[in-house]
Amino acid sequence: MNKLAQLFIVLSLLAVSNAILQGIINVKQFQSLLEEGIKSKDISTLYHSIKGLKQLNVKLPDLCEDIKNSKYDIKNIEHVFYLTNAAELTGCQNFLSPEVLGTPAKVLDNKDVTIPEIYYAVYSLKAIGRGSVYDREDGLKNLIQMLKKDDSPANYGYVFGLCEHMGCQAWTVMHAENALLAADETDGRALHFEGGLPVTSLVLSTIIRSFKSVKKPSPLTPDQKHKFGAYLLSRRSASAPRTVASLIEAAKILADDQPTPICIVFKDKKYITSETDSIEFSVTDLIGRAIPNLKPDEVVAQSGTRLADDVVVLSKQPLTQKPNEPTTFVLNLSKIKSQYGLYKISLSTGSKSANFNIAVLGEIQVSSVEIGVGDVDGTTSPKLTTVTYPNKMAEVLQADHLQKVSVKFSIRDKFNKPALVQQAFLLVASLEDEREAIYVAEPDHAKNYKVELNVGAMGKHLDYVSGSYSVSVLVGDSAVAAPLSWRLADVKLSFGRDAIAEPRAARVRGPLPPISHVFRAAEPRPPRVVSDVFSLACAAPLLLLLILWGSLRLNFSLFPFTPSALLFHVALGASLSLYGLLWLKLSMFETLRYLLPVAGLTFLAGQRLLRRLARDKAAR
Amino acid sequence: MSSLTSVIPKLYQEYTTKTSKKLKIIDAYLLYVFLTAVIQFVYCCLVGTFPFNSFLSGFISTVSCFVLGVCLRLQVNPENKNEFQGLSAERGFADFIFAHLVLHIVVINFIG
Repeated sequence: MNKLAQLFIVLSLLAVSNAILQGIINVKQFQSLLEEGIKSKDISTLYHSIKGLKQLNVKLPDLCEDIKNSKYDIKNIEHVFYLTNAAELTGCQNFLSPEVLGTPAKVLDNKDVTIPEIYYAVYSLKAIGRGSVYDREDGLKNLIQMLKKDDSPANYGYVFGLCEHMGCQAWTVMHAENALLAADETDGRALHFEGGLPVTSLVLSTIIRSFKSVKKPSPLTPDQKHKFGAYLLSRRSASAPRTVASLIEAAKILADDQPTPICIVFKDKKYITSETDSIEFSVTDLIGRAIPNLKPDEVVAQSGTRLADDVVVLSKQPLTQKPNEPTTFVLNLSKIKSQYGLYKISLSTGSKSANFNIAVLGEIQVSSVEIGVGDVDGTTSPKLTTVTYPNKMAEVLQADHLQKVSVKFSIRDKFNKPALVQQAFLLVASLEDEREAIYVAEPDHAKNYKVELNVGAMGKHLDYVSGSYSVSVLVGDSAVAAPLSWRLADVKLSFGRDAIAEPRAARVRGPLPPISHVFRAAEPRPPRVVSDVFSLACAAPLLLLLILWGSLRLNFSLFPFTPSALLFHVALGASLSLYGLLWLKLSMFETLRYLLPVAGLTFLAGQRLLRRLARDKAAR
Repeated sequence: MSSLTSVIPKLYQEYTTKTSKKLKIIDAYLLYVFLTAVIQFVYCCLVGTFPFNSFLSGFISTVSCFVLGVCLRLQVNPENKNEFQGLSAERGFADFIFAHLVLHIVVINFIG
């Protein structure tokens, strides 16, 4: 068992490093987009559209006038490059004015020229048959110097391209591996060069072409090819002529480079039903062509497991090649057809494999359906009526708020075995308006579904609107060919109270109204008399205090009639009055502002007074 | 029970004779504050707490006044002299006034 597990781990690791691409680039789909592009006035769009259509081997209309009249800047070397090369691809060199020669010559004489500019200049000249100006030996040395300053992948691509022209492919062969290592990896799945699709396409195509011209096997490892292929697949939705042309070029050159990355996709559908028992796969290269040297028996379904319980249902089952369709392979699944559900199939070609999720769609039927009305308190057991699919119960049931509607049913597959489904509901919908409520049907241990609808409790879902309602069973499952919606009965519900008059508020989308603070609602105040009595009662102890103090015979004989004593009492009184004002109208800050001087005065006066008192006491 | 009836008059006698006048003044003040709190509480039980912050500030102010009064009494009592070495009764009174000023600005702010 342990060894088996290890084997599985090893196998799955292999699967990761030697995966199969699950998708193809349908290059033909870009044709209309590019044909739209050649109507453009912009020279860049025009050139890339022409280039893309040439890659697709589409016969081009006569475009010489369009090229001549397109918008370009004769001083801009990139524009000149597009112009001359578009003319070359369409055979319209004679339509170009001789002035276009001036710009490339000027660029090549320039000291501060960049590698892309050299590339554009050299290929512009080459397009009009003057390519030999750029010398091989000195040129390469110069380029290597410039690469030392800026060794971006794009610059490498341009130098490789120039080498194709100058015949220094040997240098390319030496440096291709390093250049490939500079590719960026995303998520460990895809490789691309900084600069996106155009740069990736340029580097890949120049490297692969150079190796081919010196008759050496391609330097790309299968893993690199797979990852570049994955990147190209991820850019399938490109829509600008420039990226589309790059995508087609790179996809073609990668697909032509043997051994080519293998792509497997579903031919049309990814499920089987009771009528069909096989799934067709397309096994192709990156652009949907048959793979040369692929033996039909190499395509094998290594394993198939059911996702629900991980049971292995098939292993090492070969696919059969469809006659006259070399790219189509058929997997016969008649063995697992009987058990509907989702399956994971691992397909392999040679040492490479990929996982595909497929669905075996089953048929279900609802059987032994019983519906009845009984009392909520269970005093009378419900009288159940059996209904058969797809009929509707003839009798209209009656139920009031003290009763409940019971529905029992079971779901069976094609072989009449009880089955569970992902979704089983009971829909109660009004026959008169839009009101409806949906209740979940839960299965029990014996896989029987049962719903008990307490009419009184249903009322709040249906706004207590009594009337005729339909009861439907809804059954669905992702592995079921046809979901089921069956209206099995009508029932007259009376909720025993008035309907909620207010129509249901429409659901509001968008921002909710701002929340404003609400103070506690004022409670009713007590009558005036009570308040007054208690106000007096609260004041009464003050009287008591005065009486008590009086009975203690307070004497004021020791009261020092000094300024500080008077000031202290006045200031203290002022502070307390200020508090009164704070209660009545002032704000806290205003109060503090007035309080500060008064409090200071109280402090000073109080200190003098109390010190004198203490001194007098000590003296006595 | 008979001991209790004999104790209470004795206690009262002791209090009237032995307690200084200053303390009696403070005790009268404490009784006043206590009774005010009780009446407020009775009102709250009978009528209700609305508005709650007003009730709270009134009730808490009486409780705090009571506490401050007790503190003053402790500090003024000559029997506690050893506890408050170097702090005169006047100093205690000054603190009492200051604490009241701070307390009541808070109470008034809260009363609403």
